[in-house]
Amino acid sequence: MRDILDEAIGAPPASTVDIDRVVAAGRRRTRLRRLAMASPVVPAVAAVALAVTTLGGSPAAPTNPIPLQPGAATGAASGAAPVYDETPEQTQERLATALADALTAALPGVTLTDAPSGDPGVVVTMYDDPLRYEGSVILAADSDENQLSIRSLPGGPEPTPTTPASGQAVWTQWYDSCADVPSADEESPEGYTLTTECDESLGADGQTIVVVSTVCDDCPGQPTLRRDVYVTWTNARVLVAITNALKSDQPGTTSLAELLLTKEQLVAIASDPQLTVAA
Amino acid sequence: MKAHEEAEFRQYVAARMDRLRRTAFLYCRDWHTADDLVSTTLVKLYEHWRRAQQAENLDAYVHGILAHAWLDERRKPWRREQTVEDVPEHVQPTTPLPDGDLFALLASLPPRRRACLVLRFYCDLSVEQTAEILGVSTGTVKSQTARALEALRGPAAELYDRSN
Repeated sequence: MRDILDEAIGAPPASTVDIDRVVAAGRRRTRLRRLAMASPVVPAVAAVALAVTTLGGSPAAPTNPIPLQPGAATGAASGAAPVYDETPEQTQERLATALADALTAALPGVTLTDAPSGDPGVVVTMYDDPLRYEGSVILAADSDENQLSIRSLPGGPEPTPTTPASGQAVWTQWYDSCADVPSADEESPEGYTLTTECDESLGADGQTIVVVSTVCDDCPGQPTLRRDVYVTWTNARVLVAITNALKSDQPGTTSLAELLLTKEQLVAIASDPQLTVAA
Repeated sequence: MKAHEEAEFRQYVAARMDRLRRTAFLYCRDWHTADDLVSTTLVKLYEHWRRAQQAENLDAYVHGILAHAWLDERRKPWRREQTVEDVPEHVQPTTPLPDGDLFALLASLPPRRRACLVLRFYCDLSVEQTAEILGVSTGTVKSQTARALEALRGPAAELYDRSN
């Protein structure tokens, strides 16, 4: 079997895995985790996330970095997100803490688990090319589980979607208007009709909010199976998406329950200026 | 991490890089994403290197990290996979599979079923090790693997029959 697969794979292209960068990233994460565990004072609500996340902040760093341009924070409706004076590590911490706080407030008693590692809490990680901060967290409440993902990046020219030969999108289309969202219905492999709904609005701080929902029309209760919220600031972009498809491939479970967060709750979370990474 | 530990880490990575990249490619069918998955895996491995070295089977430990990295990656909304998914239980190609069809069939498998297949037959892990990695019972691994092989009738099923 391995031989067949190896033969099918053929000769791989040159590796882009840079071991020196891996080691540097590993050192950084190890250091941050150590510092987080040594941090003496953590606000009560953030304690759950911070104590267990691998991306805690330095004890010397301010827990809440000060915005340099508090446009959004002041409610000036300028559409500009605040610019924070902070290191990438502090940005990771700020985003993780803000997201954990928002989720805990929206869903009291929710259990948060970092999806990649399975560790408790929320972890946000910085990536290059293009610069972005991403995190994925499993929300467990009662007997339901959803997965919520966040991508936060600076504003500027829209990233170019790229689709390699395999057909897997490396970068997704960014929607700042419902006019750009494909509206054609899809049929799931199970035969359900999936429709796309889109709402567009202006946030209290002047940011554009586009909500794309995938609804199963012929499922009992017509649940929304996935919802993506694109928030476009003049200087930042935030995508927060939630899906309930976690267990669709496991026997005896269903992926057809309603999402744990309402549209209003998800929009409120995604629109939070504290989740932005403004340039 | 001490200098000699880092040297061991680098040595391990150098020796396993090709296998890890190929395994990641089987999951995602895209070398760019495969390299991202391997990088993510190695950063986590670096973080937990001491614990990993105490594992009964270090390779299995690493393949577990990789499998979870992929399972998480494919759930991210920007990967554009469908929310509700399942595949026909009976895909029966009548002729030997060209490479492209083999990958297409692999890709059509639900993720955990695909992971079962890769872990069992490409990474040479046992049913028990695969079950532990995926957090399911050994019975589930067996049934998922059997269904995956059923879907991959042809060269894979032929080999499976021979090995049983």
